[in-house]
Amino acid sequence: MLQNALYFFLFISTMLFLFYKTKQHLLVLFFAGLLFMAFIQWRAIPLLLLNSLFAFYLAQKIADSTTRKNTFFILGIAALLVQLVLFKLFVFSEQSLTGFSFESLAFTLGFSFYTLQNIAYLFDVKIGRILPEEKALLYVVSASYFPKILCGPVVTFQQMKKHFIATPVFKEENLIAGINRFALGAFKKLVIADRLAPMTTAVFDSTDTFSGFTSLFAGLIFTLQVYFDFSGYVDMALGISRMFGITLPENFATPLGSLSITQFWRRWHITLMQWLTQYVYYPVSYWFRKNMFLSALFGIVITLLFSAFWHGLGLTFLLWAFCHIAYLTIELLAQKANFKLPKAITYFLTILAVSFANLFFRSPDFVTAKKITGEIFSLQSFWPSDWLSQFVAVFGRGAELNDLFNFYLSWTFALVFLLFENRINSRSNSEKFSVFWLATMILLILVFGIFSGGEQFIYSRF
Amino acid sequence: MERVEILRKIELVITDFFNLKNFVCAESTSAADIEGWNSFSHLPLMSKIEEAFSLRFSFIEITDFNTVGDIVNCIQKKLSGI
Repeated sequence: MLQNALYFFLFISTMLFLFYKTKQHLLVLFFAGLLFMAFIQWRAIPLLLLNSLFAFYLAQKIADSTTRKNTFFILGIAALLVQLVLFKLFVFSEQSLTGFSFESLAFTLGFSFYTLQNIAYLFDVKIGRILPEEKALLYVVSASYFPKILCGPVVTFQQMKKHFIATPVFKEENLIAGINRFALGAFKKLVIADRLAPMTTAVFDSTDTFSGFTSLFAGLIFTLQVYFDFSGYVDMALGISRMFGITLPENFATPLGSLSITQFWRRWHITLMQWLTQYVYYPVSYWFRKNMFLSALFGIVITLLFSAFWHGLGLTFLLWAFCHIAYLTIELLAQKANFKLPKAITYFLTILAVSFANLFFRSPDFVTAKKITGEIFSLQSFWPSDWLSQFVAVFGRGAELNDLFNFYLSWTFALVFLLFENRINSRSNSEKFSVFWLATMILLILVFGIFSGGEQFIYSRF
Repeated sequence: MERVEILRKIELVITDFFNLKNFVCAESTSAADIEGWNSFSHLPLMSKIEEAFSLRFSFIEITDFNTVGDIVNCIQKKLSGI
């Protein structure tokens, strides 16, 4: 872990130096992308390059053709979607036959993310929103830009292009802000998310049966884990990118403080939701926009089903999507009837609903999901009959001192963080160098971080 | 039709659509300024504006509007036949 961190530090420092000092910043970013991929998994490089070049050349065909515009467009979208379906099928079969194997999927690293960019590019060229790019290198760099390649944020070509065509100018404040943001991401991932991980594993990857409350609590812990894991990655991605003077879009806006599911989806994985709105929901709903309720309902269904498909083909993702479809429909009806609840109640209900849906999202298969959720609706087995053995020992993994310490420590960090999240976020975006901030982050990471056999980023498998 | 007239007419549509009170619309007004103007309500709202001005927005126009000023520009072009 520390050796990897050292390599990564050397890699970033060298790339930053070359990026600002040479006059070939695009080439530097291109090779940085390749090196980064090669470092993690070199087998992912061919698919990335082939798909990017495919989208690049097809976009030119779409723009140049007068009679076969639609044919080229449909061909391109179909080719990308078929690959996405095959990829998801492959993941699904890997999961159901042998359990998840990251190694066998290595050649598809980042695939779900850059495919979204390629689809958006073809779509935008087709409707005339943008002109096709003439420089292949520029397009490939935008797809292989290394800070975002693993888990996003989801971006469009035009969002990236404006940064890449500008001549890089080194600014100290970008470097400082980047380091500040990166430190926060590493803290979230190593200190909070990876400490919460064993607790979710204890429930979701176990063959035991748990009380309904314990299961629901595991859903809440997973909600926290996936938030700190994913937003931690995004913080690091945005931080590194900022060092290169490139501002990537934000992906989270304090989602765990949402007062409704509608609000939650505006604050959670924002760039994916924006992509789904622009490239799935709007093109379909445009045709029956006269009816507000139908249009909204259809939007909810189509967007969440596509989102479920994007995450994976399993029944568990479908059930996760159905939960959110039900929540959003209820909210839509409540809004129509002008029905309102006190804020404290809506906050509690929102986090509860998200955690419940996440029981499906996290479950490795349908049988586990059924077993875990089943007890929640049972009056007899909802509450643990013995709190020490059926609740504390489950998350404290046998209530050994080390694990109990981990249980209390991770919760304390997570809750304190959420309580002061806005203030911490604004501090992490500061362009001023602060010894206090950096020393605090580094100390917390060194003392409380999990370094041995660190957890894979959850979203790197999608 | 003058820009101000178009703006006032859009203001009426928005006021009615979101059931607002004392709403004053400016060219800089955007979805972020009005509670309830989100991706779900955006298309039906545009449909109401189309009805009010008896015209039709294209897909790209509807999805690229960022402010009310953008909508005014588009309507003015359409009404003057540009």
